[in-house]
This record gives sequence, C-alpha cells and structure tokens, in this order.
Amino acid sequence: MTTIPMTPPARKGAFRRFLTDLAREPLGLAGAIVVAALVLIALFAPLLAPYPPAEQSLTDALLAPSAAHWLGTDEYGRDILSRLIWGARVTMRTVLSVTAIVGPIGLLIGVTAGFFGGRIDAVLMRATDVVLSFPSLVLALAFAAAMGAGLGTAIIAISLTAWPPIARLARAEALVVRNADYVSAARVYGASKWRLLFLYVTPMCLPSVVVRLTLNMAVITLTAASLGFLGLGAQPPLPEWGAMISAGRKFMLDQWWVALMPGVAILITSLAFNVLGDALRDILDPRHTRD
Amino acid sequence: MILDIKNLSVAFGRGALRAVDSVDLQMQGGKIGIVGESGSGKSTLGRAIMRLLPPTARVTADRMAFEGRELLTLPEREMRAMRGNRMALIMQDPRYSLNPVLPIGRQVAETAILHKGLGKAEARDAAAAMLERVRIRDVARVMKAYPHQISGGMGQRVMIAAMLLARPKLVIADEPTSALDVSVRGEVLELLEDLVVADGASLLLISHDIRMVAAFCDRMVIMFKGRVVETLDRLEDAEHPYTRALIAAMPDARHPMHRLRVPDRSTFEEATR
Repeated sequence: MTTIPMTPPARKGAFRRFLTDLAREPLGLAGAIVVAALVLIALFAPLLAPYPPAEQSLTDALLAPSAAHWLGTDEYGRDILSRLIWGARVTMRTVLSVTAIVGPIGLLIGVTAGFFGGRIDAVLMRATDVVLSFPSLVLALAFAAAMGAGLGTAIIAISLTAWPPIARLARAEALVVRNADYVSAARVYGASKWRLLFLYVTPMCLPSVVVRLTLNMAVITLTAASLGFLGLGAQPPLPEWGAMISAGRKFMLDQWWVALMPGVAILITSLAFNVLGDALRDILDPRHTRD
Repeated sequence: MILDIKNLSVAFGRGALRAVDSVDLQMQGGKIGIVGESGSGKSTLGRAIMRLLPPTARVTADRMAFEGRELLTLPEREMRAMRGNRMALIMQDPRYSLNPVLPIGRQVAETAILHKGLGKAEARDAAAAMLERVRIRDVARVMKAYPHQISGGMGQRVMIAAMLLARPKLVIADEPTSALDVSVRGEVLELLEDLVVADGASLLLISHDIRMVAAFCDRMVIMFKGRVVETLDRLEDAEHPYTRALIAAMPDARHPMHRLRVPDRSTFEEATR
C-alpha cells in the first residue's frame, strides 16, 4: 500500500466548508472582511498611504478633510489617513503578538490543570486567580511605567494580564473532555498521560480557545489604545491610534477630525473582532447554531 | 492460568458500600460471560482488572494475577505496556469511544505505534490489514474517514480492530453490542468470536443479556449487588432466584408468553443476604 499524506485534501475541504459557513453569517462575514482588510492595510501600508506618516508641514496644520487630505491633518500638518494606515501596523502587531503569546500559554496552563487535576490543578489555578484579580489596565500601566514606555513593554504588559481567562476556559473544557469515553479508550490501548493530553484532550479545547482569542482581540485593541492614550504604549513619532486621540483631544471642539478619525478606526477594529469572534463561535460550536 | 482473581473488592470514595464484593474468578481460556443488571458491578469488575478505575476507587484483593503477574502492585508504566498489548477492553458505545478529531486509520494505528514500535507508514499498513480482518469493505476510504462519518456497527468494528491489533491474550468486552442496532449485533459478536479464537485469546464478555451470553460463552458468572451469586455452564442449571428472574425477564421463542414476568426483588434480595 502506498502512503499518501491525507491531511492536505481533507484540510482544504474543511477550510472551504468553513468559508461557506462564514458566508451564511452576514455579520460575521463583514467582520472577517474588515479584519482581512486591516491585515492587508497593515501589510501594504507603505504602498497605500498617500503621505509618509511622520512628514510634517506646519503650513498645512489642522486642515479639515479635503481632496488632498481625505481625513484632514493634525497639529503638525501630518496627514491623518496616512497615520491611521501606518497605525494599523502598530495595532495589528500588538494584537497578533499578544494573541500569539497568550494563546499557547493559556491553553497549556488550562489544559494541564484540567487534565491532571488534584494538586497541579490547585497550584496552577490559584496562580491564575492571583493574576486574574489584578485590574488588567492598572497592571499593564505599572508594568509599562516600570519597564519604560514602548510598544514592546506594552505587548508584554497586556500579555501578562490576558492569559488567565484563556486558561480558565481551557481548564473547563479539559475537565469535560478528560472524562470522555474515547479518552479512557485511549488509556485502554496504553497511551501515556502526555499522549492523552496532547493528542486527545487539547484538540477538543482548541475551538473555544480560538473563539475566545478572537473576542479577546477586541479587548487587546482597546487596551493597547488606552495605553497609547496615556503615553505608555508606542512612542511618537510612531503613529498609534490611542496616542493620536490623546494628541487630538486639545482640538476636540474646533478640529474634531483629529481625535475622531483614530477613534472611529479603533471602534471599527474592535467591533470587527467582536463580530468575527461571535460568528466563529456559532460556526465552531454546533450547540450554538441558530436556525 | 490467564486470569486468577481472589477476593476482589472495590469501594468508591469514603462509602462503605462495595461496588464489587469479594469476587473470585478463575479463567483458563475460552469465553466467560459476566451477567447482571445495571449497577451489579460487572463493568466495575472489568475496569478493575484493567486498573482503569478513577483514583477515588479503593481496590483490594488477595490476588489479582494476569498470566501469573500480580496486577495490583504493578507500576503504572508496566500496566500501560500491558493495556492494549496483552489485555484489551472493548467499550460499549463506539460513538463516544473513538477520538472525534483523529481519522480512523490514524486511530487504529495508535496501538501499533504504541506497542509494536512501528513507524508511521508501517503502522498504517498494520491498521489497514487489521481493518480488513474486521471485514471493513472499503478500507482505503474508511481509513480517511472521521468517527462521525461511519455507522455504529462499523464504529464498533473499528474499535475492535484498534483493540485487537496487538493480539492481546485477554479481551474484555463491556456490553460490546448494546449500543448497536439489533440487526448488526450478531454480526459484531460473531466477528469478535472469530478474531478471539483465531488469536488464541480469552474473552470476558460483560452483558445484561443472559440469553445472549448463554448462547455465546462457555461459562457464565451471575453478579448481583457486587457479588457473584452463581457460576453456570448451562442456563438450565440455574438455581439462584436472581438468575431465574433474569431468565424469566427475557422472551423465549420456545415458551412464548403473553406478558413477561417482572422480577420480584424481595425474593432474591432475601436469597443473596
């Protein structure tokens, strides 16, 4: 018998099925499109932005939206649209980095705690409770203040506080799955504990963790913007949406567009993540399907 | 002696109630059936032999030896090498006992990877050969299918394939047919028997269906409230009122009756005491 790897065709079919499922959720599809567009904008920022994001021109300061500057200019005459486009990079980098850090850590801690139970569970979950009891923004603030403000510290600071909910969720799922018959069946044919953990329990916890991570992205966007607003996130001249709002605050009444435009960008981004996460839950979890 | 159990008891948690109470069981080979109603401790007995009970279970025995090795004191690592390799357990419902995210072929190959030290490609070949042995027609297709894509009867045959791949000496089948459609039950049992006989293994069949066990097994052990009340070779020799009540509760083609008798608990509860 020849051994042909069978995963690629199966996975492609699954992916296509996933797309058709998504197409049935108009709101989720819209969220997915917005998120995809944001990723593309972030990737191709140098090509898309009409002006360099840090190019100052004091004669053009605080111009209202016009044909030359679609979204107007800020107090240094920098084009707001260009800064928003480059800012998408900062936001996406933050969101993806935090997710990439938090997902595996939370999943590993939660699944281990839930699967092994007993003392391991107690230790890991008490540690999780300790972190969970910190207000995340305050901890992030303290961390960013201690380590020096910057994008890197902001990412670490947000990650520090974002993993406990994931761990909790993964633990709850693992608790259910570890008692499933097929896990005992695997024990019957002699699989070791680690094999059970990684091959039998963890894959079943993945869907809900993915959904939670997607929903989390909205929170991360907001937290990152808050840190930026307080001057503890990405530092100028890096265009960061939160910092842009903070700068535009002074001109709120007369030059509303300076603060409003980044605000709208933040709103759209976090809304898109939320809606996409909701749709993912409906698709990945058959118990939630609407009729 | 394949299996030699003396005075085995299982209790759960702090409760004094014993799920399995002073059970003796000797097995030289062949097919033995364990019969009893729900909660009579028959499944617990099967799992105690495999040492698969949760940590809250307290298992005690004067002796519980498999192929001459004492199981109760065996380290977990050696026990693991034994499970699936020397002894196997076939569970009730294939819908729940197959990993929903692994393709069938990969799952059957697990035993080959774990116990025979085969590489992935060899293990897949072994799995394909084993699926052929359990009379799955379109092996190549089934290998790629996921558990939810196959029928219950097929699922149970896949389960049997996975459990018997390493040719264990003792096969415990815990209600292997009760989740299946009546029309495929006989087929699955026959298959199980053929494979067990071909491999020279012993079978411990756990069931509540006393007639099925009588037709299928060499000897049957009747359990009630965790105790063995009777050991029989033929149904006709039944003396204990509980055994008789079990027999009377099943329809018999030779003695058709209008209404089956519901067991009168007071009679045999008295006799067990």
